[in-house]
Amino acid sequence: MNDSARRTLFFFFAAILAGALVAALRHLPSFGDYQGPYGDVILSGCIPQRHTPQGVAAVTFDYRGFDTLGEEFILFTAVAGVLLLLRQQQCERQEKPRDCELGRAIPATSSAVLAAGLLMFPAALLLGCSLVLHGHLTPGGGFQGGVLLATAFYFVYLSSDYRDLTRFTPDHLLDYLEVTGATTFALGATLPLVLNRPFMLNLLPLGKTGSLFSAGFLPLFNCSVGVEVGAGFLLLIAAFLKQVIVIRRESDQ
Amino acid sequence: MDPFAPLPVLLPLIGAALVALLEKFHQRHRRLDLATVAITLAVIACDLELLLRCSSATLVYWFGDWHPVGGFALGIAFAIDPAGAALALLAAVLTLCGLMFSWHYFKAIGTFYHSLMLLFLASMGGFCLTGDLFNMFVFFELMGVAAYALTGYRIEDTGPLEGGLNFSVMNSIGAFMVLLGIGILYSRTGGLNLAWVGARVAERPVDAAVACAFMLLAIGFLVKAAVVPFHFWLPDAHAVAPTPASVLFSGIMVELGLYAVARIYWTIFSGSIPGGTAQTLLLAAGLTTALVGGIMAFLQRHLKRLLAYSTVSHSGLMLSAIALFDPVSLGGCLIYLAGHGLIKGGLFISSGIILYHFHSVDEETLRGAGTRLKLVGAVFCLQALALAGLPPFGTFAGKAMIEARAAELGLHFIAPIFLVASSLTGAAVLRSGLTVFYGIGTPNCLSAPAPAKGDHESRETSGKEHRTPLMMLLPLLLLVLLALAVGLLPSLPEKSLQAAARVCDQRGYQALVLDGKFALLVPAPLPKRADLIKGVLPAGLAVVLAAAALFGLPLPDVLLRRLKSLLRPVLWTLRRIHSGYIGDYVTWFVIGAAVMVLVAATSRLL
Repeated sequence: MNDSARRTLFFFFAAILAGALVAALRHLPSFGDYQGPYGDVILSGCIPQRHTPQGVAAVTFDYRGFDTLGEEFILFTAVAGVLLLLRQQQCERQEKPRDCELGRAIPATSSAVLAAGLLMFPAALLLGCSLVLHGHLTPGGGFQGGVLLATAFYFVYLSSDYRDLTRFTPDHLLDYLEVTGATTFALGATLPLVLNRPFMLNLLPLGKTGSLFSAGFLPLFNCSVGVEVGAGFLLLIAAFLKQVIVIRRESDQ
Repeated sequence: MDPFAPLPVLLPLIGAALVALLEKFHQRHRRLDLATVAITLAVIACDLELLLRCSSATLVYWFGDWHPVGGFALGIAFAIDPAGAALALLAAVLTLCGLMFSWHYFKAIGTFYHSLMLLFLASMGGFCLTGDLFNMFVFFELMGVAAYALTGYRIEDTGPLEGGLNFSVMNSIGAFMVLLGIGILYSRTGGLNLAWVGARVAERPVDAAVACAFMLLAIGFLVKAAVVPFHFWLPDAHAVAPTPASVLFSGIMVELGLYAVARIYWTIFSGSIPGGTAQTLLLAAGLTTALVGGIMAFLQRHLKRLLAYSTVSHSGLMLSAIALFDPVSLGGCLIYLAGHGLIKGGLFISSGIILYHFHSVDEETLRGAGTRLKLVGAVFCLQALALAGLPPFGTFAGKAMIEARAAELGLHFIAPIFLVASSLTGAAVLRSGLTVFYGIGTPNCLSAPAPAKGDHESRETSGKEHRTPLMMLLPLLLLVLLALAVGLLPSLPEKSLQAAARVCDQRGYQALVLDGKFALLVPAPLPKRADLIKGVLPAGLAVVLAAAALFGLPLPDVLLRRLKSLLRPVLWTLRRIHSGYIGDYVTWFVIGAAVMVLVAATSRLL
């Protein structure tokens, strides 16, 4: 197919697909006309059953926690896949990090950028920790908080240098943390199985609604996901940067 | 509740994380190999146990002990019936064979190969056993992510990266369709459990939204199943993936897409969409796929591409069986699925052995090169005939059941199309086997000009290569023996009919999952055993076609020239359509999806 034929065909049939879908979707309940039982059951159940005011966290880590375990491992797999694809090839070697733009002096980091970085790093770190720890009380949780944790370290790179980032985040430590995060969730969910109860049963004490240590497994699962997501994203950032800054083909001297 | 139920997913998930860590600190292959094989063996044991336990009554396992409240399924359930458990078992057996093959494999370490194989295994197990729509999607995604990474494993070449990219783009688009379908069903029914959704959908007459939801789900899963016109990614990906991954892709992953279509149809839609337009659409897609895949397989000289196209063809064949929307043909399809998966896995392992010895999978380059590999050559040609449906392999038993049932239903055109498709794929494989291992015949006018040559393949392995290592032969022989066993076990047709009847029993499924009531089901009576002549026919035709390809047709020159000029435009068009450009693939996808959704929205599939 040449370009114009492909484009014509694509847009013609995409319009048909969109039209048919829109026609079909008109048969759905209209906005605000909620019909399903799920929401009502969870909202009326999450405080008495799970001692948490956060219905979303109760769904993701308890009622439908098995899905979240799967999602967590999707992230784990994706990180492993990226690291596999970005690994150093035999025809490649590592060099000292340097600016590839030849004939240009590396500008010194301005103090304004440095100050912004110094300000943002602890703020992002703190906010990330707070989101993870309070995931079962307020909106947020392990996935969101974990991304923020990784972002905090990204500020280090943005406001200073690649070498500073690697000093902060050694690869081995990140590997450990990522695996620990993933396995803590899985092993925590397996614990009831060892005690001859159903897998994923929330058997820790549920505590007082609204306190930090409540809702049983939820804070632990949030923390483990936070650690896994944070470490995973840092591994990804490190791998991407390494590919651009450190790894060179043997031929490009 | 059965404590074994979550283990086929749980063991490989935790194992994958731990193996990833082990790989960082002990840079030794053997320990990783041993750990991975041990976990896979444990999964096989669990799957077997589950298969035995669910034979009398479907096992329902509620995660987190969230049993249904007042008939509403709050949590996620595994609903394990014999069909799902048997597929999970097949996935685990194929994983074991792939891992055994890779015993002498992979120079590079620190590449997460073992972790990815275990994650792949976990995702397939979960996909087979789950009774929840969204959970199915989660495992569908996990399966995809692991598979994309495995496809691109050999990053030194461009082929694997392109194949992995095409694979991930097409399958992600398919996943969007699935998600859209799930969204529609959720907004209509307010739940995600298959039994619950099915019960709510059956309450009202089907409208355009529900019909579209079925089509969207089917389209998404048919992308994975590589059905025309969503099949383009498959040859690109299967041809370049490392051998153990190809074994899993063709042996079970593609078939799981078909399984998902059957599962959602029977649990959700069978009450409200009785056949009709949906059947016509799926049957047409299946039969077209069977023919296109067969012809394209015959036109290849790159051995792994050839096998990949034959997978496309057989996937179409199995979709046709499912599209009859009939328990008996579904039972035949289950047997066929197992028989084909084992044979195809064995063929990919054979091609891996060829690659191990000669660093090439090109039929013409390797002409006669494999003469000293006597055992592999003989097994390869036997598998080619088994692929065509030679008795007593599992492929014969399954196909005979499907064809007999189709004839009973008055669909007499199915058997001849099956005959053509299976003999074409069998002939293609047989031709390349005879060429590579016996050096018979002359370069073939149909496959010789194929663009993909498969000659300069980079090595997958290291070490000395004058003998095939035992650890490569073992999985090959194991797979052939298992494929024979699937065809020979006298109780298997009855068992698979029972399994299929259980899948198709929508009311029984709902009563069991939502209310915990189990009613014994009487499966359809066993069809009479098909006569062996029917099985010899496609295998014989395959031999004739292979011979024609190798030696030319015994026709006068004038007729031959006429035949060639007739065939050339058809073959040229087919080759042009399979262009390798992802933009074309997406365009074909949109065309197919638009037609299917339009038909669904206008006819409501009645």
